[in-house]
Amino acid sequence: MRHHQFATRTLVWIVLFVFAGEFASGQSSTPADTPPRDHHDALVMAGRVDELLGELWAEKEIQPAEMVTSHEFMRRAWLDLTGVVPRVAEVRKFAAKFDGDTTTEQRIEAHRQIVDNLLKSPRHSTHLANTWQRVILPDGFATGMGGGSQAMHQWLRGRFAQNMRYDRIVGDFLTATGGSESGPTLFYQALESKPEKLAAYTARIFLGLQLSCAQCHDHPFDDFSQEDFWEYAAFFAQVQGNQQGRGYRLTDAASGEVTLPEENEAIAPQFPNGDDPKRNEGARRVQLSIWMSSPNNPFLAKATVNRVWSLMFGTGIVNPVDDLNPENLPVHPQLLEELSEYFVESGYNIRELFRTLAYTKAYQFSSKAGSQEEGTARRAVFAQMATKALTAEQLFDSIQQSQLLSSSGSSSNVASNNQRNAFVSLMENKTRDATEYAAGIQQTLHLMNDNQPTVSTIAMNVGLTAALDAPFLSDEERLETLFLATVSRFPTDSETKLFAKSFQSADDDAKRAIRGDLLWALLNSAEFRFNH
Amino acid sequence: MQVSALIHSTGNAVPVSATRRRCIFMCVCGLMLATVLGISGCAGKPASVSNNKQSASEDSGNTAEESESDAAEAQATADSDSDPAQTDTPEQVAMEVESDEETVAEPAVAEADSGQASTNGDSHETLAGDPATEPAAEPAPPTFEMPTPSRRRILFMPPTGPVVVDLMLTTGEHSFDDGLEHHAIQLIKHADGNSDGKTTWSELLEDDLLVNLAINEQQNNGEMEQRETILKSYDRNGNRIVEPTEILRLFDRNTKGYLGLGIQAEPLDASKSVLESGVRKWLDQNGDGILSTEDKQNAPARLRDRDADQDDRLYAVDFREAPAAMGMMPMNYQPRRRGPSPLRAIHDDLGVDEWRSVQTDLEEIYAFGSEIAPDDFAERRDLFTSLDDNEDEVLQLDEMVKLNELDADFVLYGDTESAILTLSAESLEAALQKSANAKAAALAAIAAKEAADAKATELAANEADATEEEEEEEEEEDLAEESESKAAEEPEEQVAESTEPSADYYAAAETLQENRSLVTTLHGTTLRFEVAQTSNPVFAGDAATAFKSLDRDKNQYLDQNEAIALRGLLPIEFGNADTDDDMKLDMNEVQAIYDIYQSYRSTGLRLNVGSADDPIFLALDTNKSGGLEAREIQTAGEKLSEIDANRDGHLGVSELPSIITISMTSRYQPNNGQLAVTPNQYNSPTSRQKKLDVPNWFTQMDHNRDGEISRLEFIGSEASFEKLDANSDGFVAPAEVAKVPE
Repeated sequence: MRHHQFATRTLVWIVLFVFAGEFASGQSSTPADTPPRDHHDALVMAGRVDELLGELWAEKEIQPAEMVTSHEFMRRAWLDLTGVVPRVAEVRKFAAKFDGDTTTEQRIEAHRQIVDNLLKSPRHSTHLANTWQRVILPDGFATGMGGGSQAMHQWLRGRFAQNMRYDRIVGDFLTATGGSESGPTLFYQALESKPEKLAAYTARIFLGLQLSCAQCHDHPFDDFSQEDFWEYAAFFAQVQGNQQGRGYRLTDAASGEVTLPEENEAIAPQFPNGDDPKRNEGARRVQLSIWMSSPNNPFLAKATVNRVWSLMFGTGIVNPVDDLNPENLPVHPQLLEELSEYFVESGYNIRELFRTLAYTKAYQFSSKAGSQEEGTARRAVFAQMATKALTAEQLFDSIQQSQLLSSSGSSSNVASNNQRNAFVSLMENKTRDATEYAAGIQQTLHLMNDNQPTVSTIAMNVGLTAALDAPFLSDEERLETLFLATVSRFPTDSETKLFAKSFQSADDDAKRAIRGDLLWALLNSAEFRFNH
Repeated sequence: MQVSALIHSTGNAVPVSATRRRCIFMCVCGLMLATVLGISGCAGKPASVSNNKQSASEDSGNTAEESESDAAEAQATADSDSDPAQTDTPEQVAMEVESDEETVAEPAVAEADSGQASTNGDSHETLAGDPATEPAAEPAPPTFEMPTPSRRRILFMPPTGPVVVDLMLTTGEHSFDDGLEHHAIQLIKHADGNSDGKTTWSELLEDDLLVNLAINEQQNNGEMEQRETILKSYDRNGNRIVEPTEILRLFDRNTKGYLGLGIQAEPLDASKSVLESGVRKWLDQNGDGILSTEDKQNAPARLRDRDADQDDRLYAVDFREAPAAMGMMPMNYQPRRRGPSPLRAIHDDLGVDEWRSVQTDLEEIYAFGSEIAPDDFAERRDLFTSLDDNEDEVLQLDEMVKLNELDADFVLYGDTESAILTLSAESLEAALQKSANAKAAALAAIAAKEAADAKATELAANEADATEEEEEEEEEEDLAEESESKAAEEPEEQVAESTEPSADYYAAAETLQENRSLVTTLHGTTLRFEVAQTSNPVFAGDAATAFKSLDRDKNQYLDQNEAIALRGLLPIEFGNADTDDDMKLDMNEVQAIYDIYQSYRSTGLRLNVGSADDPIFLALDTNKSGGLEAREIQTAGEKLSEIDANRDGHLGVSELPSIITISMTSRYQPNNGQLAVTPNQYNSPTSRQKKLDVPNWFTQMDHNRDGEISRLEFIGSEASFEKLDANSDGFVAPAEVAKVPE
C-alpha cells in the first residue's frame, strides 16, 4: 500500500514539476536563437500584415499592384537582405526553377525559399552591419577613422550573425566601455562623450525620437520639454571617455551632472516615458540599458520595426523614419502597433522581423505603375513597391561583383577596403532616404568616367569582360551573362536581336569592345542603379 | 675602411680631373688588395651599365661582358689593353657609380666594384676567379653586378630546436655595412645647416625632418619635449659632432648590438598560441576547449559564417577580436608575454655577458632553465653535437661561441636599397633580379596608368557631349541602342585603350606582393619570412617617376594637395620640404626628399617575430596561400581530424606544425607602421596558375583567386559546368580546362 502511495505521490510531484516548468517558461520570453518551427510564426504574421494592409486599401479604394516577376524579386531580395546583386550562377540556378508554367503559389513558395536562404547566409549579417553602421555613426565617421570603423563593423556583424536580441545589442552599445571590444567607442569618440550629443543621437537612432530641438527650448510640437531632454541626457552625464594608449576607454564616473543651459541646478535622470530610475542601483548607463528592453519602453520596438520596414519597403510606416512624434502620423497605426508587439514577443528578433516582412504579399508587389498619380497613391499605402536607390555600399559591392572584380585581399571585413570607403564617402546619399535620389553630377561622372569603378569595361583583360573570353561560351551566352551579372535577368528578345546584329559583322576584338561598352552601359543604367 | 670612406665621402658631383687623380691612386691600392683578397663580381646601377654601352671605348662592350664570363676570358681581354687602364677598371668603376652625374669619360668602363667593400672583410663570400687579374666572374643575371654582401647572423629558437640563419645583405652597390656608412653620411650632410662639412648635434636638432624621423619612430609623443636630451645622449664620444655610427644608433635607438638591425620579438609560447587561436575558439562552439566530432563536422559551416563578404576566402585576421579603435593608426593589440625572445643576433663583438645571456635564453627555452642536454634540442641534436666540443653532453659558455662559426642552416639574401625589399634563398642576384622585375613592372604600370588617365579626361569631354544629346531619349529600351551608337562612335578609342592601364597596375601590385615572402622548412620548423612593406607602385621607382605620377596637372610642380601623397614616404612637413619657400615643390626638392628617404630606409632593417599567427589557421591553410579557400573550408573538418592524431579532441602543440613568421621591414613603414604580418594576398596558387599557363579568362572568372572555379563563380550554364568538371568534385581546375577543345 505504502509503495503504491509513494509511487503516486512521486508521480504527482513529477507532474507538478513539469507543469511548473512549463508555466515558468511561458512567462519568460522565447530566446531569440530558437527558430520557430518552419517559420510558422513569420508566415502567420505576414498574413496578418497583408490583412491589415488590405483593410487600408479597401478603405481608400486602392487596387494593389500586380506581383513582381521572379527575376525582379530575386534582385530585390538579394539587395534588401544581403546588400548586393545576385551572382550569375545564383540567378541561373533560381531561374531554372521558374521555367515553364508555375502557379502563383509555387512562385510565392520559391520566393520564400530564397528569403530563407538569404537570411542564413553570412552576407546578411554583413549587410545589417553596413546598414546599422551608417545609421549609427555621424556623417564622415563611417568611412574614416581607420581601425575604428572596422572595429564597429565587426562588433555589429558579430552580434547580428548570432542573431542576438536587438534590445541586448542596444543595451551593450549603451554600456560599452572600450578596450578590446571597441566597436561602439567610435560613436562615443565621435561625439566626444558629451551627454547632450549622446542623448540626441541615441534617442534618434534607437528610440526614433528627435530630441535635439529640446536641448534649448521646449519641443515645438512634441510633448518633450527642455527639461525632459536634459533628464534623458543626465543618463550620459557620468560617461568619461579617455584616450588610453591606442584605444578609447569609457568609464562611468561616480559623479557628474547636467544642468539646463545657463543654469546651475542639476537635473536628475528620468526615462523618456516619465519613469524614474532606481537610486543607487548601478551606473546610470546600465540602468538606461535595462529600461531599454523593459516593457515600459514603447519606443524601441516601434522605432526598430519602422526602420526595418523602411529598409524593405523604401519608406517607413512613419516618415521620416526616425521621427516618431505625434504630429507624424503612421500610415497605418494599427499595423505599427501589432508589428511592434510581435517584435517584442519574438524576443526582439531582427532576423524574424526581416523574414516576416519578406514573406508578405506586399513585399512581392511590382514597382510598375500605370500613371504617376496612381503610383504615388499606391506607394503611399504600400499597395505598390517603391523604387529604392541603391545605397553607396550596395552600389559599390554590386559594381564590384558584377564585374567579377576581386575585393580587397587582406580581410573579409568590407569596412577595411579603402577603395570602398572612398567610393562610399563620395557617393553616399546624405538624405538617408532611399526613395530620394540624391546623386549629382559628381557622382554620375565618377561612375561614368573614373577608371576605378568600371575598370572591367575599359581593361579587357580584367574581370567579367575577360572571363567572357572563355571558349565554351557562345556569343548568345555571353550576351546573356552580361545581363545576368548586372540586372539579374535575361535579355529581352528585342535586346537580343539588337546585339546579334552588332556581333554579326564584328571581329573578335571589336566584339570584345562591344561587350565592354555594353557592360558599361548596363552598369550606368537606371535599371542597375535602382532596386525596383 | 679608410679607402672606402675616402670614396664614399666624395659625394655626387666630382670634377673629372679629381677623379682621375683618385683613380690612379686607387689603382695602386686596388691592385694590391685585389691580389690579396680576390675581387668579387661587380655591381652597378643599370644606368651606369647602359652608359657603358654608350661609351665609345672598345673596352665597354668587352668589359660589360667580363663580369659575366670567367676569369680566363677576362684575362684575355685584359691583355689586349694597356695594363694600367685595365687593372684600373674595378676601382674606376667604383668611382663612376658613386658619382651619379658623371658621364663616362674614362676609357675604362664604368663597372662598379665593391671590391673596396670587400676590403672591409665583412663578406664571407669568396668567389671564383683569378685574384691576380680581373674581377672574377659570377654567373650573374642580365643587367646586374653585385657588391659582396654583409652578413648578419640570427639565431632562431623555435620549439623544435635552434636554427641559425644568415642574412646576406647589400645596399644597392654597397655591402650593407658600407651602405650604412654611406647613407649615414648623407643623412648627416642633410642636417649640416651651415655647410661646414660637419654636423653638430645642435644642428641636427634644427633639422625637423630628421628629428621627426628619430622621435616619431617610437610614436611616443611625450618624448618631443625631451628630444634635446635624447638626441644628445647618443653623442657617444662626446665631441658634439654627429658621427655615422651615432646617427645610426639614434635611429635604431640601440646603444649596442648590430648596427642597422633591430629585432623585436615576443616570446614564442607555442601552447599559448594554440589556446589563443581565434579559429579554435570559434570552432569550439560550447567553449569547453575540446573540438568534438560535432565541432569538426560543423567546421565548414561555422567557418563560412565568418566570411563577411561571402567570397569563399577567409583570412587569419577575420578570426581575431576586433582591433582596438584608434585615432589614425590601426594596430592589432597583442598582450605582452613574458619570457626570452626567440630571436637573437649573433656576431663577433658579443661580450662574455652577452654570450651568457644567449646561454640562459637557450636553457630557458629548451631545458626549463637547467643545463642543456642533447635531447633538449629536439630536432637539432646535430647542432648540439657540433657545439659540444669537449663531448661532455653539456653546453658550456665557451662552447656557445661556436654558434658564430658554424655554417648557417639557412642563408637569405636581400638588398635594402631597392625600393622593393625582396628576399631570395638562392643568391643575391636572384633577390636583386626579383626586385628589378617588380620595379620594372611597377614603373610600367605607372606609365600605363598615366596614359589611361589622359585618355579618360578625353573621354569625359566626349561623354559630356554625347550624354547631353541622348538624355532625352534615354529609357530602358533605348539603353541598348545608346550603347550601340556609342560603340559605333568610339570603337577606335576603345580598341586603342587596350593598353590596359589598370590591369597592369594590378599586375604590378601582384608582382610586388609575390616577392614578399619566402617559406622554408628546416628541421621540423617552418620559417616564413615576410617583407611587410607598402606596395604602392608609385614609390617603386625613382624620384622622377614618382614626381611625374603625383604631378596630376602636369605643371612641373607639386602643390600642397599633390604633395600630400609624399607623406607615404616620409613624415615630412610641406614647409620643410619646400626649401625655397615658393609654396610648391619642384623636382629638386622632391629629389632631396627621395634621397633622404633612401638613406633613411636603407640603414635599418627590422626583424619582427610576432606570436600573432594562428597555428590552427596555418594548419588548415594547406596550400600556404595566407587564406582559407573554398576547398580548404570544405575539408576543414577532415583536416582537423587528421591533426588530432590521438583523437582526444585537444589540438596539442606537438600535433600542430611549428611555424614561425618573421616579418622584415626597412626602417620606416609609411601609412601604418604596422609590423604585424599581413598575409600574402596575391597568393601562390595564382603564380602557380601562371606557371601552368592558365588562360586569363580562367583567372578572371576565379573571383577569389584560389586557383579553381567553384559553381558559384562559374558564369556559364550548369550544363557547361558539368561538362568541364571532369572529376565532379564541384570545382573546375586548370587541368580540367586545358582539356577543353576550343
